[in-house]
Amino acid sequence: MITYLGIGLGCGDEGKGRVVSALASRFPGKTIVVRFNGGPQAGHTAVVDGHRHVFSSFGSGTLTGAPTVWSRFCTVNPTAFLNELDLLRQYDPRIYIDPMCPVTTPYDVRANRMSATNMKHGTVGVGFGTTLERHEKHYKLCFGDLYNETVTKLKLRNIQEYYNDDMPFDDFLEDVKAMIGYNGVRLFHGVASLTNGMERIIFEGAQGILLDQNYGFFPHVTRSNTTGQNALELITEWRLQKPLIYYITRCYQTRHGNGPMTYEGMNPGIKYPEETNKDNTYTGKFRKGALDLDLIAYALKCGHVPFAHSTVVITCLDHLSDPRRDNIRIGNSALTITKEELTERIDRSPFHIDEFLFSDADSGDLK
Amino acid sequence: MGHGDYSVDRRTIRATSAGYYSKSRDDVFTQSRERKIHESMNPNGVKVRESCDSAEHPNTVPIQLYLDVTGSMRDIPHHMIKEGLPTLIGTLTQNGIPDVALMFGAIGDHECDQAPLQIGQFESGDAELDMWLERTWLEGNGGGNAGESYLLAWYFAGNHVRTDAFDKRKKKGFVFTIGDEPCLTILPQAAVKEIMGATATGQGMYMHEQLLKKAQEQNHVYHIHVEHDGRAPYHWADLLQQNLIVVKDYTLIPKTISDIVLSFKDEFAGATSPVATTDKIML
Repeated sequence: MITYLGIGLGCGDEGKGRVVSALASRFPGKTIVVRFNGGPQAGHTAVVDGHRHVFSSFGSGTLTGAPTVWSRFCTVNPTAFLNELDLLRQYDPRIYIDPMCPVTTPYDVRANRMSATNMKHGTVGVGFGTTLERHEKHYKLCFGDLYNETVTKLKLRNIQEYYNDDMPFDDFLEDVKAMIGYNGVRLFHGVASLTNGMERIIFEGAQGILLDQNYGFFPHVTRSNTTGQNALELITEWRLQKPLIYYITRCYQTRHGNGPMTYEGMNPGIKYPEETNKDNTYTGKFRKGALDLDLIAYALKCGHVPFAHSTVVITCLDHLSDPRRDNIRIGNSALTITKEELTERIDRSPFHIDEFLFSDADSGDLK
Repeated sequence: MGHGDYSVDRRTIRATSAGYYSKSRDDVFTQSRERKIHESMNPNGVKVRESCDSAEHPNTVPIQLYLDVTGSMRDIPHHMIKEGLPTLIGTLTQNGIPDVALMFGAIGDHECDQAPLQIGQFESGDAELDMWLERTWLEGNGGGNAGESYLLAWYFAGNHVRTDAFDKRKKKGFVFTIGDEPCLTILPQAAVKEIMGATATGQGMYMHEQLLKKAQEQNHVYHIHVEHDGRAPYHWADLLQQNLIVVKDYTLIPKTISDIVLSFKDEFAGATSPVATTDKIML
């Protein structure tokens, strides 16, 4: 079995969903997708046979039948899960969730959205950071707990106290029941029982390296490891082979909400097509700028895995206003450069890149 | 390379005085104390290992024997030096293959070992062969990942070995790998560069099937899987079909190898015999 690892080089929205979906579609029915960081705040778009879906609570291989493993590093939000499941029922999605996954409650979401500090730092507003913060302070509620109603209620009462929020949790309990009652949801008990007969296992990263809690620009970071660190931990634990790594970036920079960004004023030479990332009440403006090779070199350095086969995927080439799609604006130079020049300049970073691939937003094929 | 003469009697005397029968594993394999690869076995910078005919050995039969030196497999080299090697070469010589040229290699794990590949030289003499075996570093790590780097043996055999047997007489040699784990399936270019240095060949990553195919162009390629606790030999049967040999008792390995080589005896005897098929051995 071959292991893949897809990670974003920027601040999210690089096209991870499309890349994972393209890799998963090569071995339909023989691929597993593993989420290893973040939670349902991710929005990974995949398009298969004209069906377009933005994945948050499921892996991006779902449209081609790949089951998802939701590892212990990810949070679960039963309400968000059900909303997304409604859109995916025709695919009979299967998901194996680690019993230790922290569960996001409506209290976490409310606390997140009411926090002025979170807003200033650039939040998505779905309670990911507040859930983990609560867990660090020992007020835990894990996915495995949800199978015991008594335990769930006791812990929810503690969480009410923690936030000093007396909102009732009856609706939430209904959602929990519906989620664990869905027959595609299973508890994850190790990968061995799932990999039989499988050809590919894809580790799907969320957010991007520039938002990493250790490597990003604090405080505008997310509370997780957005490099391959968690995935490599699981790969070692599950005795898988060292992964082929796909580092993913758009052909221009993007960022949601507040936080530092270079070359924002510089027109990145793109059309502004209708796309997944609309301005959001909580995330704030969706910002765009010309590509910054220094930031790409930095992200590649932070995400470097020694002696692994490294591929850089440059996505969304169809967003370029140049009809030949070969005219990329980089902030570090006054000129636009071709795809070939871009690959040469990225390969000058301290680590050798074995392969470069390109893709469009509308098809997602890797070339 | 490939000179010297293999005398079982002379070897027994020398082995006794060298203490192969009495010394502990670490006393025989002295690199274990150094904790590093013997420089003469480092493949870094090696372009090619050659098996050449000579007046003494005009009809060389090149055999590459790659031993897994991770974890529990380290007992096999120790057994080889105690009695396996004389059994192997002795049986071949007595049964009409006098010009064996044997090269030892050692296999570790390119994902986590310091020396995932060690390479000796083709030799025919008992003293020389013992020397290469003694120099082998039984690194012993291997790591708890998906397997070991048996594909490095195929990479080396396919890209860095030249034999008179094939070049002059169109006779395939033999490549044996011995181990108890699955084969890693990917060899990234970065790993090849790290191991081979300036003499690394190819671009991009290698897949195990591709390396196997290349090695099979000039070799009969076998894998001997040492079975513990009755576990199935992973994907090996799919890769090698009848060229997978499963043994439970590792002391049978030398006999297994000599049986396989002897089954090709006719091919080596006649100067123009057709290339043999590989489906003769069913153990």
